[in-house]
Amino acid sequence: MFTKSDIAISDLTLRVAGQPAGGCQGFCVLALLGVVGQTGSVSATRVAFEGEPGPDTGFGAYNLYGGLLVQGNPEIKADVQVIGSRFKNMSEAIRVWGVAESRVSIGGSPADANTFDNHVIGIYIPEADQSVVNISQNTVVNSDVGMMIVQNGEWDHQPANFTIRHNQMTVSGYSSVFNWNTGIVVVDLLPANYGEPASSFELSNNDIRLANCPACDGIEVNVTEGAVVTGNKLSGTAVDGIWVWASDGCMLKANNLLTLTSSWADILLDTDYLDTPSVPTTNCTVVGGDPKNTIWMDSESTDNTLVGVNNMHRNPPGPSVRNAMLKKAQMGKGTKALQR
Amino acid sequence: MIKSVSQISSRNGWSCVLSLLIVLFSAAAFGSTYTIQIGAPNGANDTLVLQGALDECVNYHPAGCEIRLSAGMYLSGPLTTTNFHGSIVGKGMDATVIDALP
Repeated sequence: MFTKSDIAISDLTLRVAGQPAGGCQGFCVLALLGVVGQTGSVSATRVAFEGEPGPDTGFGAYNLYGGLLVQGNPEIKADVQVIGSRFKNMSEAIRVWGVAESRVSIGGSPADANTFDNHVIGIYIPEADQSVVNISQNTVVNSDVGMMIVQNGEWDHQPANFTIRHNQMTVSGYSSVFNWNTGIVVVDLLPANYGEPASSFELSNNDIRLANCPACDGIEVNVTEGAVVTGNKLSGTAVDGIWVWASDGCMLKANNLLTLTSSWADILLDTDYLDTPSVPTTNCTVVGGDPKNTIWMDSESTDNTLVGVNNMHRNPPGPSVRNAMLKKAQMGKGTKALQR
Repeated sequence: MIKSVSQISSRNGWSCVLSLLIVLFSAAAFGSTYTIQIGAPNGANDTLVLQGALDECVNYHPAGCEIRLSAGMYLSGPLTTTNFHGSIVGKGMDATVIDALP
């Protein structure tokens, strides 16, 4: 664990192998590399972070909780860079929590690609204030959630800039933690909860493959303003492809959903009924690449512009699917439960 | 200047030889980064060697320090440090391994 440090680590493997006789109480090791304090920086270049499967802890069945942990106290000004590295068998591969005025770069060019295999969450960023976050060219497989960004405002309430680009994910299986599997999730609670400007989100040119997952989708854009979701390819079988929930002013354009078979609809513009009053999705523009792309809007999500997509005008799915979606969304909004 | 340090440790009935090869490059001659070359893993517990290298960097070379690991599998308990400014470099992703002792 590094406190108030600037560390560059490269060309090695950090690993937790096995368990001691008698097992561990929960996870054997909490993090392989931790950077904490109020200032610092970390870069990992060609580093393997590896745990092993273990007993079920309730948040994944591994002997290792996290690979790289960057955590502020209360916030940390810390540049983070991870390139050419691989993560395998741990609950959270990367958690960057409570950074401020920082640059976070995970991946970058094709040569900088990272791989993530078998996690509850591949990349988790619970809060980044006044920061620039770039997550590009990464591959995530066998994980409940590939990438999750939640601007929850626990420490400060400043918006950040998030770019999630050219990543490849395979979403499969069933999450016992979330009861729902997803490729990318973004949530921004700052405008609604604190009256602050919204963070910007660009999710573009990601390739998300969904297979053998009874409750899953590709992209979730929840409680955002002005999010841009463009040029993504979603394929396979899922409940839906892109779920926009309680958001305003989003732009969904040129996403390739032609080989996606969705049991509900390819794209959802949905309302948050968990809050009172409810929060619909409004002022979004959806430009489809093919008229066969299906879209569903709930009765409160109005004032949206649809071009080249097939509005389904149908009832929502059955209560089991609906409840699983809402439960997942509720967990995203109340992420403190995930942070402790 | 090249400095070689050997020490004998006894812990929990285990005796092992921890060898630490410290290579000191003069800051005046080669710049501000101080380099510590860690010898091969001892096969039992390398925590003292690794923690010692971190402490050396923090206490005597706060402006910049590089810890170079050899090939092989190091076994280590938790390592903690404050105000470390430098790098830890192995011989390759699959050549140098630090195994965390649970």
